[in-house]
Amino acid sequence: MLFYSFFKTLVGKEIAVELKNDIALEGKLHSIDQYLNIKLLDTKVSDPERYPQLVAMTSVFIRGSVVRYVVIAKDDVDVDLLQDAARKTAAS
Amino acid sequence: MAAAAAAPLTPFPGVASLADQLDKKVLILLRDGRHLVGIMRSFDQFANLVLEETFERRVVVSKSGGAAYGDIPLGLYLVRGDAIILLGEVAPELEASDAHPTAVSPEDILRLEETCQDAETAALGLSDDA
Repeated sequence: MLFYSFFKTLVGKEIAVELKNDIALEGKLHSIDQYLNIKLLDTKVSDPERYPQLVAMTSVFIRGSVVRYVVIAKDDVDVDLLQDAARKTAAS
Repeated sequence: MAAAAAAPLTPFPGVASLADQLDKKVLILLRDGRHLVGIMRSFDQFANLVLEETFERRVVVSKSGGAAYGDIPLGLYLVRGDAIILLGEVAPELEASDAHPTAVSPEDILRLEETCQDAETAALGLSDDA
């Protein structure tokens, strides 16, 4: 629940997502759900030569289970707040 | 009545849902590397999907940088959610763009795949006359 709430604060921001099959995508976070499935708008594939047919897609739904990393801009995160929330969750 | 028809199916803003992609043409990337294109008719909480008019989209990239794609018809598919990597809505104008591979017939793409395979095998020195 913690990271679901965290990602909800990032809706509308630009993020990059690296998947477990090594594909990297960038786009604007449209929405997130409890499984951390991610929906991105205005998606750009970072390596279009590998999968040229992905150029045809506009909005993308990424299954949460295939995400390796989500790369966020430093200014979009309040790290201290996140750390606090994590501590509280661990304590309960 | 018109307002009810136009209202989005997602009840909460900011919550990801596949409802927006219902009855739309989508391109799915599967864990085994295959690409499926079809019209998404339904989904569930595991992202299992029913795809109508499904095609397997095969792409051949030539060393010169050109790329071609062909759609092999498959029919009505139920795709298991855990096999899906990502799902994207296909914009027809982007399919026709220069950045996208050129469309060829299914027979042509299968033939191109074979010739590419032969070219690769020859380059690796694995052919019989090596």
